[in-house]
Amino acid sequence: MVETPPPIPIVQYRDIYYCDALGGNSPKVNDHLRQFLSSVSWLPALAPKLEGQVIDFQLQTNLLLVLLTIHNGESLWSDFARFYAQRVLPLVNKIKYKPEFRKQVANLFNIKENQIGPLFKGYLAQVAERGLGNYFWDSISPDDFLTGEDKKTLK
Amino acid sequence: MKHHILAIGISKHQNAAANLSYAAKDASEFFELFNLNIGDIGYKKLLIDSEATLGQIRAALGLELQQAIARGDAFFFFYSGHGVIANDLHDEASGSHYLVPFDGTFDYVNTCIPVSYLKESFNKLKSGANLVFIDSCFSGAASKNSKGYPGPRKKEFKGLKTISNTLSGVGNLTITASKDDEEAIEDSEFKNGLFTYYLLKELDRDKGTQNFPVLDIFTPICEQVIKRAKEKYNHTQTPTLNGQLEGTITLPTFRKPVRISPQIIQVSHSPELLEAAFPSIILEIDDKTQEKLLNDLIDLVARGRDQQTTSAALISFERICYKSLKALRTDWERIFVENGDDISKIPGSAAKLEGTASQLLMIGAVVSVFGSETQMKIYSEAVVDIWQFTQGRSGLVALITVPEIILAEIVYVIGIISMARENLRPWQILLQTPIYNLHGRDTPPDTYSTVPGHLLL
Repeated sequence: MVETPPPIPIVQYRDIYYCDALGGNSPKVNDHLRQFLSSVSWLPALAPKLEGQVIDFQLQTNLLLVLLTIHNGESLWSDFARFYAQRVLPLVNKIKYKPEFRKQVANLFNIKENQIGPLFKGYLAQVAERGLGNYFWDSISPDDFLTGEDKKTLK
Repeated sequence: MKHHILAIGISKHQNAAANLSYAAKDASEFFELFNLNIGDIGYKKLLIDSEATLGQIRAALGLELQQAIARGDAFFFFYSGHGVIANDLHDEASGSHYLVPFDGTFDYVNTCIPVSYLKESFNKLKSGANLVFIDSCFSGAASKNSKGYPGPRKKEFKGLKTISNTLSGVGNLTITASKDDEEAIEDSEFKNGLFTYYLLKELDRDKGTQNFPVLDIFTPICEQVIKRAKEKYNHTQTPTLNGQLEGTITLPTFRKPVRISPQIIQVSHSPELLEAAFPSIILEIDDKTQEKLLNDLIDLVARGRDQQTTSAALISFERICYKSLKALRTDWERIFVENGDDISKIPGSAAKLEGTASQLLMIGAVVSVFGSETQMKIYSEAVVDIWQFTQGRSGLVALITVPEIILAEIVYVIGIISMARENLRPWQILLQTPIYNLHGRDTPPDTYSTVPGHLLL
């Protein structure tokens, strides 16, 4: 009898990132998501900041998902890296400099706030090393996650 | 000289998100103070909560009032509730103050009472003095304990018809709870609007004379409101006095102070209005059907959130989630049977499913903004069931796995909303919801690692 594997958190349910309906191809899933999200007219009504910036927020969501999956021992296609850095830098800066948001991110990853910089730097470096280097030339670099404090500590 | 009184107080609104705590109590106490102490009141009417609809307020200011008031009488108008600024009815570039009735919506111009309407109504009265007390504010800001209502600020208009500058002609004396750009607050300790508390206190204070000029109550009210607002709430609230009376109007003597418990205020009239479903917040988006659905969902979620201590509210919310999920499943199964072996129909089928999924997506989006953690958990557990659509199916993989795209859309919709609103908690709850992974695709084929876009392990 085959034993049923234990449930996993939805964040680790990779079939939604590499959905076979779109050829098991993550860029296609993300292209679909960009198209779909831009077509949902009521989204900015719920979150006014989304007005005209849906793609930026989709890529920022992708960036956090990439980091989360690596944190959970998995990997995820870093679709954000196909775009210029300024699309996701607002998220990076919020994580670094907005205490309330930083706290929430630490909570999301179940880590301490002072672990964020070094951990995220390492995770991003891992993604680049695993064959996505060509997609990172104009995106953020692992060091972007470090605050001044982090840099001092690492020295 | 006879006294006439119309008191309006609205704590409960059709739009439950706009509810206040003590506005109905304010009006009830003001009304009862007159009713108990003055033997011969001419016209007297109290409208609270669901009684104070746009139509009822207009009717109360209408013919019956005009006929009851004789030359030289004094008319007391009291209003406690929300105020808002919106475009003037007759001049789009200008703004106007509006009172928000029980059934007022975000279409302020057509559903609220403009100050010009009050002015026209007062002008038709033969009274020698109209004494107007407004415990409301028109700052355009809404915050905790405040009578403000979200809307444009006064600086957005080239001109503005305010309560003060419109109702301030000869024969009208208007006392407002705050300046135009300040918020008027409710005082949870006094269980009244801050302004109304001191107004009532000043009215029923023993003044040692039966001929106390009405104008003289203003200064002590003003001083006490400013002091209390600053000291207790670190808030600026400055009552204003405008208008001009011919001669001296003296106050009636109030010997019986009135204090009403908020719990005893009940409106049994128009119960059908209380039962009706109305939007908490009205959002204007292009598609009217979507707009209605979205607003209905906001109302449902907000009401469920407020009542979540009762399991009935949670069960009701759960039922809505599963009803929506069931519709999606039914559609998917029908499409699967009809198009299960025709790859050319897949794009159309996927579009149909996305259409059916839109309500489920909307529920999640609304819960992530307006809901509680419990609602988010219920929603997330319901959403995981989408995955089960694919269980035991065989046929075209592309069609079987369409529900997974919907799941991805939900993850991203709630993700970008949480990100934009800088509240990651709803997304965190969704992402941590357990799901069984029975597809057996835990280990991807080797080829995946060499093709960009496939899983990299």
